[in-house]
Amino acid sequence: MQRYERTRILVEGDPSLAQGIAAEIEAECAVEVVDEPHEELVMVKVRESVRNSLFYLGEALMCSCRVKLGDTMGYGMALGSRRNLAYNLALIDAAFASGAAQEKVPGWEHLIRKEAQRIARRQAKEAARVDKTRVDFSTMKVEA
Amino acid sequence: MAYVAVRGGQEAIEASLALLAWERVRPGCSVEIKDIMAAFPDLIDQVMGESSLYAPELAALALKQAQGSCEEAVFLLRAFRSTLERPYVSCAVEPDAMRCSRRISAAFKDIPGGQILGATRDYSHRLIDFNLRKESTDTVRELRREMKRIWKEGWEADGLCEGDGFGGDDGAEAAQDLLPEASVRPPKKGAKDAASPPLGAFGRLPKVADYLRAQGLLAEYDADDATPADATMEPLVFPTPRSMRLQVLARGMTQGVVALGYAAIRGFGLGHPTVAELRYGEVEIAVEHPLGTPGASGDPLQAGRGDAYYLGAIPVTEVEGIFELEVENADGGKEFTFDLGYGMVMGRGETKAIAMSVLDFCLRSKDKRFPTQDEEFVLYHVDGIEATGFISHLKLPHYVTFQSKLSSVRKAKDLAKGSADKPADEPATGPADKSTDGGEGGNDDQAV
Repeated sequence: MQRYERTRILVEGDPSLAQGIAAEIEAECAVEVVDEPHEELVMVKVRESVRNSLFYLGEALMCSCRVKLGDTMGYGMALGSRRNLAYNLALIDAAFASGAAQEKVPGWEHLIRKEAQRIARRQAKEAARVDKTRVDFSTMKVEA
Repeated sequence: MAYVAVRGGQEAIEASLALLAWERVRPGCSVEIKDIMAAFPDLIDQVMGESSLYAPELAALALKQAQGSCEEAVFLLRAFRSTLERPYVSCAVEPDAMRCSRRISAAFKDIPGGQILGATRDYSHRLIDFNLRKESTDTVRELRREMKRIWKEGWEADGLCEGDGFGGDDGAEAAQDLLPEASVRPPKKGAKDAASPPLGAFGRLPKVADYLRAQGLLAEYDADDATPADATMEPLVFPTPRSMRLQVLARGMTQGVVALGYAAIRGFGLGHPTVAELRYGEVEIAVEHPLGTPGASGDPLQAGRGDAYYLGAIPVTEVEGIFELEVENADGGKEFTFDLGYGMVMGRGETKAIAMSVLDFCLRSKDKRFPTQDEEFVLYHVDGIEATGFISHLKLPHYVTFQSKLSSVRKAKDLAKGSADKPADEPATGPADKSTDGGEGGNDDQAV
């Protein structure tokens, strides 16, 4: 599982999932916190579709954390002031990168994919709500 | 010229601040931040957009502190952002990567993916709903339960309920092969064995302008990956690069941008646009690995972002406005063609985004016959902090400069009368201002 997919599910999903995986890592590995979770900014870069060039839309508040498992650095980042989540994500990032708890990775990935399905269901429901507002011009033509 | 320090008003200022605090608590009731976020999402979007900082909870807090003053809340958020480090720039948000929950076109009736109204007030009656007077948290919850029940019936009909559809354990990953076009709509009833589409795939729609490009009616441009200018790090220098103009307009005062966009359409600018596309939805924000990962940019549904970090998604409104213009063709003759103006703002800000697209188009002309095509006129005056800051400073003491003006006018009047006599001595600025005259007091704003 690639990092983008993993972090997307963990950020969008139930925070208790990241909390649970991080707790397992803490129980097995010595964790060194390099940077405590703290707030900072990310500049949002956008490609505008008229000239296909880049511009900065504005900044977003985010929270980040850095931890070390052995020699491996792990980064945790999320929008907002979600300090616990940033810490948990950093631990998980370090664990996946270092192979410190390699035997547990398949189980974690299974949980993460299940969470992905839950998020997909949620998104499908939102999409279904929105889809009801789709204009059916063909109906108008018949009525005319 | 020099400036003098202020003395003498400290106690009055402290009393004024105490009075301000009193006025905030005088009603004897408070509102929680979560309630502000729930009740005023559009106001929060406006504050965030003009602050150029996406932070909904902080925007709600700023509004609470500012007692509902939008300009004060923007000031607070801008001040707050200056206290934080900004170590990251996101991967580029690609234009067609939005998860749309609203998308309309005024140019074409039939567009790929359809016209999706989403949640809009466009077709609502602008009548005050007096029933809201009696609304309480209990009645809101009851209404929510009822609406969820109705939605659930629809979801059950479409096979979207828990444990009903969406494939096996390999869910999202196995569905990577699904085309975005196929996942614009939610799965239909009977598609129980279908795997879930990749996260973020719902609501992805093709761009309307691509149809005009395919017809050769709009120019195509190669991707320009030049690092954008940054209005938060460098001053406005004219002529500005396009990236600077877009950033300044995106963070401009909503009503300021709307007013100038309106003026441009009414005749103080280049023309009347047709909205090719207006879309509202979420875009995903990601950053590359801090130690660098080549290729970690672009569309999140493509492989390029594999090693990047997902931070979350933010809502944005995006507009492409079509303008007709006359150009010189290869034979030296004139012909009509189309060009686009671009607007994007944080959150829901449809009129601002449309006005931004108008101004983007106007400012590209460099023809200063119209004020809305003069980038100094537009860009210097739409920023909320610049504008409200300067206007507000007029409230501060200008005793000495005004004395100078007063003196000049008196002298001119005396000269007009042919009198050589000087005006009689009198209190310079009224009885309360003795301490501030002659350099002892005044405001630090005051030049002498």
